[in-house]
Amino acid sequence: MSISERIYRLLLRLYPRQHRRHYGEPMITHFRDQLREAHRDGTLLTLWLRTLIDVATTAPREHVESARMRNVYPWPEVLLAILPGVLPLLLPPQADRIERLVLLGLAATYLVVLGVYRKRNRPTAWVLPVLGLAGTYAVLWGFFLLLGEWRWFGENLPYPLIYLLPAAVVVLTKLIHHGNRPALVLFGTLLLTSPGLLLWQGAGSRAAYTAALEAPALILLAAALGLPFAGRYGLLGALFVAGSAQWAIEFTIDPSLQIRFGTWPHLLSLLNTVTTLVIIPLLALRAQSGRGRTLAILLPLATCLLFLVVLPPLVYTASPYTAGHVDIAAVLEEAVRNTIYAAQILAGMAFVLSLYSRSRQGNVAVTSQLGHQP
Amino acid sequence: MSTAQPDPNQEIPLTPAVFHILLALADGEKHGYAIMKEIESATEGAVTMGPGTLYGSIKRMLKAGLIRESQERPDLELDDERRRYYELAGYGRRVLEAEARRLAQAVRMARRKNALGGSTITRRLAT
Repeated sequence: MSISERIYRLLLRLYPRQHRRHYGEPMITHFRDQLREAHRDGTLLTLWLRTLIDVATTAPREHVESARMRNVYPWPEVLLAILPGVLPLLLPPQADRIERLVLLGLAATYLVVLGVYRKRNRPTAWVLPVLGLAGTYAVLWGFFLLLGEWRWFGENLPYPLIYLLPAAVVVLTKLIHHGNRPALVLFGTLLLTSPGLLLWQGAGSRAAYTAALEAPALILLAAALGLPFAGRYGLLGALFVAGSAQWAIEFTIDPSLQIRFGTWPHLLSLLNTVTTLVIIPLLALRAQSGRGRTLAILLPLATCLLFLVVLPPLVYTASPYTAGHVDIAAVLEEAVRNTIYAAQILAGMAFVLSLYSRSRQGNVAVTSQLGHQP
Repeated sequence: MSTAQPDPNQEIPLTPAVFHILLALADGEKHGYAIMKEIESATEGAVTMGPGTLYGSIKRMLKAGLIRESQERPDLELDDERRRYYELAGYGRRVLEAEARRLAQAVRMARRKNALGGSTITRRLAT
């Protein structure tokens, strides 16, 4: 086998596996014939130039076609699906919070109505994150209206409890009814880490409740909202809802996560958001392949470890305000707190994955066990 | 019960690659390299196809029912390696005819408007 043929065989790995399996050998034979002719005519360089252009233009096209054939969403729909989750990032950071919430709420409400009226037809993927966001807001607004409270941070009310409890009830009922043991274990892990965080923070302060309950509350809410979609869309639907709902809420409610360019920890938050809202859903498209599932699990793991466990202590020690006055105890406390937070997020992601992963045999959604038609 | 045959006009206009592959198969089955060589010869080197373009087009044409695979066998003029041969399907022949008629109509219009220039190919078309 010549070196050229070896290189071409490596280039063939850029094509989808299915395509290689079917057409790999004829393509190699074809290239070998071209190579023989090129050696005869002294046009090897021209052949390689044409071959590289051929691979560069046809391999991506085959991947797109392969994705379409595997019953994943077409790329325009995917981009539309993640766009609503990204919309909060486009709002000016100086805008009043109520203004932003009202605007988002109106847009979400309109799209919920649209989604409901399209219920008979399969909703397009772009509706999913907006429905998740709208549902989350509906729950929050409902409770706050009931309490006569417009402020998002009720002074004596840990707001994550408001949506943690109903979401937990919905999810727990489903899990117990259908005996999904792995998901139950993860659910328990998620909830049990919260008291641990609460105790660590000091149970006396409202901030402690907020910090302890925020992650599991958001994840469980997103999981509960994702249940209706999981039957149709499986893991993809769950991740879109989870990512968009959680991070849209984070960016509109939590002032520490609002975009303030020029402050690089907030840029890291932005990066984390883009990862959750954009990259993970895109990877979820390949969730039917083992590699896609692995990446969809590894990426949140890496993100959590990086942004919550590794970077904060580094930022703290590198900050000009703390330089020369490093408080080891404070750094350790933050690291432990963030590790628990990261564990919650990871447990939540694993929980969602265990709920909505497709089985190996026939891509039948496990959610059919939950009573939804796939 | 008769089944309605698909309308070949729904496939046209064809991409140049698909048209040339169909044309290459019009006079008999060929393997991939032979298809490419015939296209290169017919277009005087203007159209060359790499394996990616050729087999991507073949895949889509097989799916559309324009061509079909025939028996694998070696081409003794090249070597003794077994090659995959392709032949024109009935539907593919009708699509090729429809596209050829469309192009012929375009050439007639171009000739009427004296739009054919002085190149070798256009001179041949004009005669």
